[in-house]
Amino acid sequence: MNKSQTGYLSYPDGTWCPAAPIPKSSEVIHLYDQPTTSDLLGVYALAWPSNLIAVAFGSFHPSIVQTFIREVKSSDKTILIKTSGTAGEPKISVIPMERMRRPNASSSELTGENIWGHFFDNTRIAAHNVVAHVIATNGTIASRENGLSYDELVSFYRKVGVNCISLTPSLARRLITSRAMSDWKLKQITLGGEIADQYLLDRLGRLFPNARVTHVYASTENGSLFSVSDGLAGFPASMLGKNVGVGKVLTISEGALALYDPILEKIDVTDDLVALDASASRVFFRGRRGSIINVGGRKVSLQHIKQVILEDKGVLDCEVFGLDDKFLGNLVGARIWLKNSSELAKTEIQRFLSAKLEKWERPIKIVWVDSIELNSNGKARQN
Amino acid sequence: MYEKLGGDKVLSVIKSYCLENQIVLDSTNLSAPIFDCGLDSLDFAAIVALLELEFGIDPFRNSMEATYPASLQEFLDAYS
Repeated sequence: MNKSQTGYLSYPDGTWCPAAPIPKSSEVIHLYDQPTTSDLLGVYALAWPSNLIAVAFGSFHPSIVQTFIREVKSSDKTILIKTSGTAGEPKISVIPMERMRRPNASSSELTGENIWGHFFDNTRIAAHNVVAHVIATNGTIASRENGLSYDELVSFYRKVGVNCISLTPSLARRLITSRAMSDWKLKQITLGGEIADQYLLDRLGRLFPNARVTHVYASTENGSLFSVSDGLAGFPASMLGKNVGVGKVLTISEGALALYDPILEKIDVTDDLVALDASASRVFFRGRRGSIINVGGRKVSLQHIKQVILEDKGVLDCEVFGLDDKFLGNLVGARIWLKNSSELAKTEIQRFLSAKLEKWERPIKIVWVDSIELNSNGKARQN
Repeated sequence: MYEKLGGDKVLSVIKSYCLENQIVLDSTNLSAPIFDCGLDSLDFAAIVALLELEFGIDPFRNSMEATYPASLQEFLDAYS
């Protein structure tokens, strides 16, 4: 196997070959409607042609592209991409290309050969973060066709020797239950895009005892900010007050994670609600702003309820949401996907929730579903 | 105009809810104040929500203010 000077290879359809270079044409903007991983490698790792100032990933309305072209300056090196949270339509973001070429925040590097495979849509920023990380750490990434199902992707990755994967917690739960990942000799599992709950981290630790399990916190504006590989949900409180690699300091403000810029003396508060545990040694994610509802004057965290439901071994996945109620403001509802949908199993989970949740936290209405839909990035769709 | 539920059907849903939530329901005096029968405001709201989700009926939907019925009987009558 020969490695290029940049230290990586793309790997379409099981064969090794160099990454696809950006065409050195007179274009100032290059558009990738359905980029492959190889295309991403070409953009971020190969020399950026001097006449090319911007790259767009994904399918955009022509008016958006025209606006983008008008507004980019010759000194810019930017990418146009769609980013999304867990709800609503994707939003369009313009990101400096330099941000993608900066090594991602990560804990100690893995030894040996690291062959990566990701499960994100190549038009979304999560995929780009993985590619940037692979380049920065001199790794290798498998370049697969678009349009494969998750199980087909797992099969392909296993066939070509991928030993490091990056995916969302929702997809990890899905793949574990389908047994597609059984006996896969993984050395790294990176979770991102959603909150990684303790139950999932424990399960991954048991199923893949030789793998390092990492969960990453990233934002669209700043990229990957920090990662945690100690097997615990949340992150150590000792990280507060520290620089997270973008020249900003991690802190908490208004009950949410925030980044303080000491040069501009400005604080950016995220929508990610957090709380310190009783010993003040660990910070836990409580969900996005808007995921706290009011039930008869009591604040209820939908994320907390979701995590409790996921602790039950009979549950494959779930969604928790607020129901409007004229008497109490909100009530809690849930969609639960059980391994075994017998009446006994349903009764058992309800007993489990009665024991674990306060009365006002218990789902008033549970809809038993056969699956929880994931979006193209592997995140659970929120309704 | 929605279909009316019988008081028996509503009481059956209330009893089912109480059983699942280990609430001791006192339905011996249906005219007693509603929150003397073992239900609290959360239980009441939950039962109304369950009845709407299951039968599509909410007699309190069009009321301008959220007013609790005075007694269990009044609650059953709202659905009859």
